[in-house]
Amino acid sequence: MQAQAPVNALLVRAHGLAALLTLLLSVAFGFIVSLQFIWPEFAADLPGWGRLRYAHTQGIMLGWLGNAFLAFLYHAVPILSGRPVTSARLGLWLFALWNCAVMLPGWLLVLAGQSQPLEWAEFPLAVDAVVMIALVLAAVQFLPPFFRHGLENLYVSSWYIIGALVFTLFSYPMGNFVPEFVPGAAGAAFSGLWIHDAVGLFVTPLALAILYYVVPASTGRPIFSHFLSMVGFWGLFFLYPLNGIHHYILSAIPMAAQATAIIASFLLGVIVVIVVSNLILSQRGAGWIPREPALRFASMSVVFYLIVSLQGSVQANMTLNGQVHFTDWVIGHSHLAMLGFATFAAISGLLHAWQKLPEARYDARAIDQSYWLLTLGITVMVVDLTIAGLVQGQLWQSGTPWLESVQASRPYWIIRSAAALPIAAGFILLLTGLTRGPKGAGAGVIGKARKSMLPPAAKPVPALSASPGKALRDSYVVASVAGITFFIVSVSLLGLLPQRMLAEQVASLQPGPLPVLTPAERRGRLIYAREGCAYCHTQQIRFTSADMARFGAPTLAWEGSRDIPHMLGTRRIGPDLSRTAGSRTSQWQLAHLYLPRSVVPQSIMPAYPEFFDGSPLRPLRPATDVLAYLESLGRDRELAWPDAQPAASAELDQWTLMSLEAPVLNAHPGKTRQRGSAVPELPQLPLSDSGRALWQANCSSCHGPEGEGNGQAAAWLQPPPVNLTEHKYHPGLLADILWNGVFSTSMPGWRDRSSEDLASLVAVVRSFSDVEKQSAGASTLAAGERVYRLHCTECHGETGQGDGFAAGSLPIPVPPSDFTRELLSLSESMRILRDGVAGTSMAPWGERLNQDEMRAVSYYLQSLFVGAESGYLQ
Amino acid sequence: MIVSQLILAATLLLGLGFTAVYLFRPAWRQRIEQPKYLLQQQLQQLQQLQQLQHSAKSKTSRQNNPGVGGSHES
Repeated sequence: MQAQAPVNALLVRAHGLAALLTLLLSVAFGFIVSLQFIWPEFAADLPGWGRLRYAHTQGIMLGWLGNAFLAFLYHAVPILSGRPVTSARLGLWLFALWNCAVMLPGWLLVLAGQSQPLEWAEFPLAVDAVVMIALVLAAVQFLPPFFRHGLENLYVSSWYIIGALVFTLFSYPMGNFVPEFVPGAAGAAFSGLWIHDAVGLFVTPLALAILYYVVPASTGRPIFSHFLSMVGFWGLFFLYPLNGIHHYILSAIPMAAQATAIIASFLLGVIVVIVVSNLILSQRGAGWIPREPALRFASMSVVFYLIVSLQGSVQANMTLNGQVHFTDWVIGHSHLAMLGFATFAAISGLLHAWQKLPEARYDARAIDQSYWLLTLGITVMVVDLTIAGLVQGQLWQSGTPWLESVQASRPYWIIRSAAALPIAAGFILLLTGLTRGPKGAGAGVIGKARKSMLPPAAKPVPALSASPGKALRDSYVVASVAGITFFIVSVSLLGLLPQRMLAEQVASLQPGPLPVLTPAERRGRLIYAREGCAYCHTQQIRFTSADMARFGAPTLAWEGSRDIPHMLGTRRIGPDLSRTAGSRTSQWQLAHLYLPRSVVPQSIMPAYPEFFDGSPLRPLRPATDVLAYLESLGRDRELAWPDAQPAASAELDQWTLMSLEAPVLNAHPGKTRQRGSAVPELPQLPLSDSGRALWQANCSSCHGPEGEGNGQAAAWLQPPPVNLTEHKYHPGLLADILWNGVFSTSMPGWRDRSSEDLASLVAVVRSFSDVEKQSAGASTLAAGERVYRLHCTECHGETGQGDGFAAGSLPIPVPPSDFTRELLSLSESMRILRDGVAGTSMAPWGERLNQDEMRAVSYYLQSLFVGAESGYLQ
Repeated sequence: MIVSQLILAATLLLGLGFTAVYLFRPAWRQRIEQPKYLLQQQLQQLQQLQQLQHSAKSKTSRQNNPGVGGSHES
């Protein structure tokens, strides 16, 4: 039997309180972020959405869970090992390092814009280095007590603690350092390793160590089966690291590595069922909702663990993953893991340790209320986000316009924010419960609760043999070596092997050395990274038909072969940006960056007015840098398209061929295309409320609510949006404009809209116009024709169809007007002739033509119009 | 794909290995289960220690402050 070793109450208390304070701050960051989904301008004076999100996730993982786990370790390690931790002084250093050199500077730096765009690894490299030092110190602090007794009598919690401390030390650099040196998809493979290892090798083992400790400590009887617990332990440590790439399924990462992760994810689900069954059986007699608070939290944590793990196994399946990846389903999943399973386990461990502190205050009522509020809040949030994810996935698959998925998500985002209220209240009550109330009141809680449980079975404790057999002793050593081997295997299979395969693929498919980014593009990339743009916009078109239809050819590995760190992303709130180069005009991009809702009324993107000197017309360097970076996204593939013949030696798998043989490289629905390109036939529809609603939602921000060309963004765009009250269009031309946009202007195409929607918009546009042909005398028309033939035909063509010989080679390639299908009011013609049209090749003629000439040519242009009603279709 | 099959095989072997040891080596089974009883003893010891400390403290408190029931309200 081992001796009792003292528990360092000061360190338990210090880490416990630090955990709760960092938790409340992290929740506050998350709450603000969630409100910005509903009101994008909310708390606009705070650091941007992306920075707050970085602070939220790192705060939960390192601040809250890190401190809570350390508090538990200071309580449990002396009891599990029978030895005190290495040094109380080292404990003080570790506490100071974790909170004053990791959390505090980490938060300050990411909020100030110094960060890494890597999921669960957002703190900058300098802070990562401190984390590594702290992890080494934690290993020195907690591991030696276990090894002084040998491995053979280690309880399962001890195994999990040892595993977590050792493997976090190995895996932390995988996600925090390696992607800073390995570009593109290969870097993402390492990122994926860490994303899953952060949960699988840091959070889960320590959470399970708590559950396996608290359950017997609270019930007063041993766990159901130590054997099953060890099967679970080895199974989890073998399989967790092999799951990493399931965060990048259907991406450019080699399919062999993806298949490995999918199989491992499925097997992991089987192992989790074993672990959970054992934990549930270990609680027998405690009731469905145990009375003892620590056990109650532990019990709910087990339930959350089962759900989140099975959900994880299922969502690695390629078919389901094609539907729900990038949606709020994944956000619900991660909240269930970190806020449900891990947080409830951490609270359980913290409560248990607190109950054992003789001088600690404890308010049982507040803790009881905290449990119910947290259970309610997290359940509602996760169910809500899961449904939201299914809705988003369905809308994305069906090809509906992107913004409709944003609009459809709004009610779910409101519920998510509402669910955060009981969660925040629950955490405040938890802090209250551990800082108010009578001193030492926690000590009696377990005893009282035990009276409500079934008494332990009257089974005699088996006599313990004095010494284990040599074979068993050796088996543990073998198992320890195997553990390290598992980890090396996982890094090899999911990191190094994909890296090598990708290098070969890049060498065979890359058309040539990629041009380096310009300084402005590089600076723009840094801004894009620090503002968390990659957390809403992926840079990977997946190998799915829905992605190909919406965005174009799937992203090949070589396209990101200079991206360090990679920005593939794992969430889409906005559309993918892999091929955004050339999809929008610079002015549109600047207006969008300055105030997104000025050009996309339903957008929830954060505004970045600080990148401008008061107007999109006066961009500062950050704005032009971001613009330069956006214009570099997809440029290389665009230049190489259609893809050059790959090297003869290249063995192309079906996925690569899928990308190379894609019918369209850039399927961006808003990209402007040349006039006449595949215009659909539109039905003739009357003016309707739905058409008006479509107008308000999509067109009014530029053209104004009544089509007068006076929308909010009008002054920022060149050429300015047309005043539709002064123009009358042939429906065929309107269909063309709506389908293809106006090439090289900010008037986008609306190819993601149905024919009915476009026909409704045609009716709305036509309703704005009251322009009628004015009759003119023959002499006026003849004078107008003379002027026209002298000055206008080279662009607008002999018959006015916009097909003059110079039309295809204009310095600004906006197509000249087709006067046979566009009728301008006389005043509008006169104005345009006098002033020209900024942002087009239409020059001002006011100083070269007199009033009579301009009037005459205006009449002549009207005479060219063949009539809006003459054949509805083009 | 070969790698996936290897993982599947390795996982099954691991599971089967554990099960075989458990089923066919009763002595090992007892050893494997032993840590859970050891922990229980540790926890019971701790509980007793705390109860002793608690009673000693209550006693001291009563001696120092006759008529007051101590600071603990467990």
